[in-house]
Amino acid sequence: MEKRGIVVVLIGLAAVSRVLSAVDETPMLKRLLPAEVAGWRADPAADKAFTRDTIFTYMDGAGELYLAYAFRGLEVREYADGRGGTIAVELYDMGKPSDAYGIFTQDLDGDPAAVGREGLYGAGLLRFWKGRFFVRILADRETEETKRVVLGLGVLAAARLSDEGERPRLVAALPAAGLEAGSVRYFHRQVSLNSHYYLADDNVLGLGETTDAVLGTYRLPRGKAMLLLCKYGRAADARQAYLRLCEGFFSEPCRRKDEQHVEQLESGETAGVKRHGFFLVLVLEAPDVAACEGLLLAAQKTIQEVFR
Amino acid sequence: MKTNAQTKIRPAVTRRSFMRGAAYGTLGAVIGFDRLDSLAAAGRVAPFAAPDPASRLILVRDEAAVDEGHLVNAQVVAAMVDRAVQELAGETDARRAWARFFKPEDTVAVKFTHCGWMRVHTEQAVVDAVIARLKGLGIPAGRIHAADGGQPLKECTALVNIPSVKVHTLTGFACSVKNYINFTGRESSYHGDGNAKLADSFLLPDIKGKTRLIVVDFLRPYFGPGPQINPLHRWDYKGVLAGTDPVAVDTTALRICQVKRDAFKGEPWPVTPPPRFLAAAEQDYKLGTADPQKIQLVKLGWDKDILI
Repeated sequence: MEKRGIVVVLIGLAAVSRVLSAVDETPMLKRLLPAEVAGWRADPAADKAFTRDTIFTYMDGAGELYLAYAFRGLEVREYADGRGGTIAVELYDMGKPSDAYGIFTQDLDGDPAAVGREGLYGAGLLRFWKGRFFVRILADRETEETKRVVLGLGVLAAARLSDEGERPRLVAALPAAGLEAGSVRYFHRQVSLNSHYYLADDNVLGLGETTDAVLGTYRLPRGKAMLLLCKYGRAADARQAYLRLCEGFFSEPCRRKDEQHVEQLESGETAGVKRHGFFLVLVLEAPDVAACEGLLLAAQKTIQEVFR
Repeated sequence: MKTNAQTKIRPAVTRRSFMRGAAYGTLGAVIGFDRLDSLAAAGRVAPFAAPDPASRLILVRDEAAVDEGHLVNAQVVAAMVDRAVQELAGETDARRAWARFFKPEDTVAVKFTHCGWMRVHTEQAVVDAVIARLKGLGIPAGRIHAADGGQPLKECTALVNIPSVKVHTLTGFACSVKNYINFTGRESSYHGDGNAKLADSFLLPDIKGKTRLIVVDFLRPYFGPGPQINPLHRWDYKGVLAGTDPVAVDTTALRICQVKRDAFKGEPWPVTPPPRFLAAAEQDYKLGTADPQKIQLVKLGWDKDILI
């Protein structure tokens, strides 16, 4: 009886949700922002919208980076001050909060801004993510006034986005000790990895839609190192990635039994890899073997803690 | 039946291939995987200072070319373009210098970069300076086709390549070689893995052998990770770079951007993904040289923070 009641409630909620989404088809920007802010005016009728299929008409030459996430759509609006100045607002529906966070981490240069879940501002550009949305607001020229308006638009939009959204769980699996602020990148595909860190021409890690990956830089007592964690849909996929790395990147025979390998490279740096269940842990550019092994071990521990 | 050579698996190209100098010629050195100094020590001449060069380039910089508000001074830029072309041609008179490259009976395609969404396009001042000189040679306006693409290339007897400069998320770098991508009609196919074939465009029947001059708008280049502009990653270099070898031009521009990236971060920040098309343009397409030891860069004008 109780079960039946829950089912009825769920069906009811789904129906309400369908009705609500059917009723409010107003584009997000129109819901989030007014047509005029501090003397800067936009023509909402001139707002543009793009989908996965049409994103290249807006950004020919860069759409691939958005399509590497669960990107669903983009809305664009331009405000003008009537004196030649413009401010462009871009609202990206990234499909889910983790991917809004992911595209936000594509470029983390800027000063922290208290807008959305995490925001950055610099030289006229505000970026923030909240819920499943990633927002960019760019003034064509930075002045005290445009900075105020850009931040004001951001605060307005963020306040009306009700869902907060959480960072991807995998990010918490990066060991905290030594992790450089502003170095964390979250992604799924090879095209994203290559835009952060070139590992190989081929997709040796087997990255794709169903993989989660997070990259971070660590400050160590004797230098720096990069740590890449990949989570696969199946343990067998993680194992395949381990074997591909052994074959394509490492030159010494890899240990197959415990699926961990550490090697000093010709550059003097040390790299290491460990397969751990569904996960692959890869350390790059470590200053020595001990630092590399230390990071591999620390990552395994945090993975166990976060995903137990 | 396949021979052993045919069935042999292509060795993976990885970051380590660059470290060993086993991939993409000198590209690894240009983007900092190896030190250019070591190239010089192992070779005969210093990078970008070849006494008997395969390619000679002219870099002109003027502090007054861009003001503090990032506004371009068209008059100063026109003089810089003239000075660069004069030096390249070995002439003291601008008209005579341009006449070395173009004749009154030519039909000329002026290919600039128009990247509205990215905002790193060829400055109008550079486009205007080039068109003014072509007209000054007696080429009627009707036979000068200045655009970002769509010119009647079959009719054109000559091309002027006037790109902007930017580090690019998908191809690594965008300057004179990538500037012709619009002529292919298959732009997206040259992003990501396809970037090695970017120089295809130079071999199209209506283009091959017609590029007489390259004038790079190096006024406000972009060195950031993208995919879209972050104004923090754009700087006023205030330069114009002229040459006839697209590979040498791009290699030199890439080196300047690489040095700027490293300076911005205060540590190595290699351009990624590696612009493989440059190595291919040299080795496979034979379009020019990417070897800094075979390039002579003549530097004129303002030399503060010249970075090369």
